[in-house]
Amino acid sequence: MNKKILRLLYRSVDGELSDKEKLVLKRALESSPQLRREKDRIQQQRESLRRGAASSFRPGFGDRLMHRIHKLESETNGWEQFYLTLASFFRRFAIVGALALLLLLSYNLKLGDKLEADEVFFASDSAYEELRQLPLF
Amino acid sequence: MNEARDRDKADDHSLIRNALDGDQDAFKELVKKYESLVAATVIGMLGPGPEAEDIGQDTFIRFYKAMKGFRGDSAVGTYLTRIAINLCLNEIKRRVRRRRLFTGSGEEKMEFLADNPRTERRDEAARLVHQGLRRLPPKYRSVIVLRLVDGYSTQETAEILGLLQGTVLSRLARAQKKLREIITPFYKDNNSTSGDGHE
Repeated sequence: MNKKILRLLYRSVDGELSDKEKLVLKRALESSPQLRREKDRIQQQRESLRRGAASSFRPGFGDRLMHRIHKLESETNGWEQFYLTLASFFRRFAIVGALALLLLLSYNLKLGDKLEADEVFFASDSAYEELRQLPLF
Repeated sequence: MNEARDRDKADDHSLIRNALDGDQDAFKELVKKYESLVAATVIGMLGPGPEAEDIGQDTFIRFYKAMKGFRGDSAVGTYLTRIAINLCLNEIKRRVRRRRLFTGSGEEKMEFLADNPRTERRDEAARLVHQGLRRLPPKYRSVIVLRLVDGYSTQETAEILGLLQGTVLSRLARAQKKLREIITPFYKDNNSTSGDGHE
């Protein structure tokens, strides 16, 4: 069978041929019983594809799906709850830390005779040297 | 036709709104409405079995999670089909890797067409064609499933797969030809034994 004509035949099923191509195919179909048989086979194949299509999963698909969704949601809620507990636990430490820092700053500001950042934040060379003198180092 | 489609779209949006408000029955209604479409896509791509059902469930779960952001640019059915086809393509890749690893082949076995009465024979032929479909490379399989099994237009198929319409048409023609080549020996063998020809 002519490969070019066969290609035209396959393309024709979805209706995308030019007028000239349609004419060529029409003539070929009229003169070739083999090509007409091939056309029938394509139609049968398309019919079989439609006929054999599944229309549902196993019975109870919706219930099984909803069960899975509920399970996923409760798992998600469980994790969310865990994160919230963790966040509220550490929030306390964060607040206490911020308060301690504020107190330290206020104390340093009160002691210091000038308002410089390294003095306030304990970062001057002398403060560092003083820290090194401590028995910890 | 367009009116019916618009009404259908409005119904779906109302179901989505209700589902987002916590109405589980509304979501169940959507599942009931689109189960056949998702089943046709997933089973067409993967064949029947527990994996197909898992992918079907995953499709709806993805939709459930994405519902909040669903703007309705495309119809719910098209949106679900897009999710289903992508999940199927991933599953096919996984299957091929797994089968290559364990058996050296990524193909499922095909059965010969049985010599049955006419109606049964048509069902058998449909089964054989679907078995053959699953032997096609995924890029051809997806085009056939969307266009010929699900019944989407060429343009819709192109949109779902993110391809040009011309590419869909050429893949469709090639896929049908390849499918015929795959299934023909199984008819021929039967014809030689039964004499009742499909050809």
